Amino acid sequence: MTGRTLIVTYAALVALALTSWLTASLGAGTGVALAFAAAKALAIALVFMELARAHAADRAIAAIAVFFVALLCAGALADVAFR
Amino acid sequence: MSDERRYRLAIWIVIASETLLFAGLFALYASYRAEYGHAFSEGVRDDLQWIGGTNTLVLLTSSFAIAWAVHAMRAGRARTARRCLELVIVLGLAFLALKLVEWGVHVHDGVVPGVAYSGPDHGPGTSLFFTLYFAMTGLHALHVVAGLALVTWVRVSQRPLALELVALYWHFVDAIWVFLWPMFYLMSSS
Repeated sequence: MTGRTLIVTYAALVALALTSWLTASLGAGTGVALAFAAAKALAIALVFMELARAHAADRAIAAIAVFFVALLCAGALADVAFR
Repeated sequence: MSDERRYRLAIWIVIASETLLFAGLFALYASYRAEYGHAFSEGVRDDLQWIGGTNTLVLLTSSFAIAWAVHAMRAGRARTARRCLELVIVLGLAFLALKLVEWGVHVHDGVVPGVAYSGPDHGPGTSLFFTLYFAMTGLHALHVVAGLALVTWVRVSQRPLALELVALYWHFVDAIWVFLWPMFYLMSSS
């Protein structure tokens, strides 16, 4: 990654953090807060962790881990919803 | 397969395993939040917002600093890389210090995990929220401590590949916090 890309990404992360802080203080819902978190995590993964240009095996491992987290959370929520 | 490739694959497997360790706690949080929405929303209001927000900015900055250390090391600027790693250590320690301050305030107010909880009562699920708060932020803090030990080792040993692998781990610790922040400090609406 170039130095410029790192600086732009850092600025975007700070902007996203401050915006999510502001929107939460204005009463935004949980979906908004989690969407901001997902955007920040994606930027960290793609740029800082260089997943955008990583080996296919590394990207597959990361994608499978995220998929399992989503699957586990969806299962837990479904349990409460259909109880 | 080269040694570098093997090490990179290994660190991604470690990160995926750690992600699944947190996944169980994320699922517990999702389940209990769905069941005890009011207590969890009110619990969020009881956490110290300024510490959560400041710590987020601290960790994001530390992630940028270690990314810059990798960038500098690749460009042959070892001195800049060392300065960046020192900044990461300072920021990591600042994060832990703020976390300790927050935990101290909570304990003083009777906000402790488990049956000893004697803090504000927001109905069923209140102590569950704070038990998860201490479990998840505590587990995360342990990862910060481990990350700081690794960053210190890389600062001393100055091995370029080790720096790249430790940087990946540090970014992972940052990414976990990016989700803990809204869960425990921002999501005060049902």
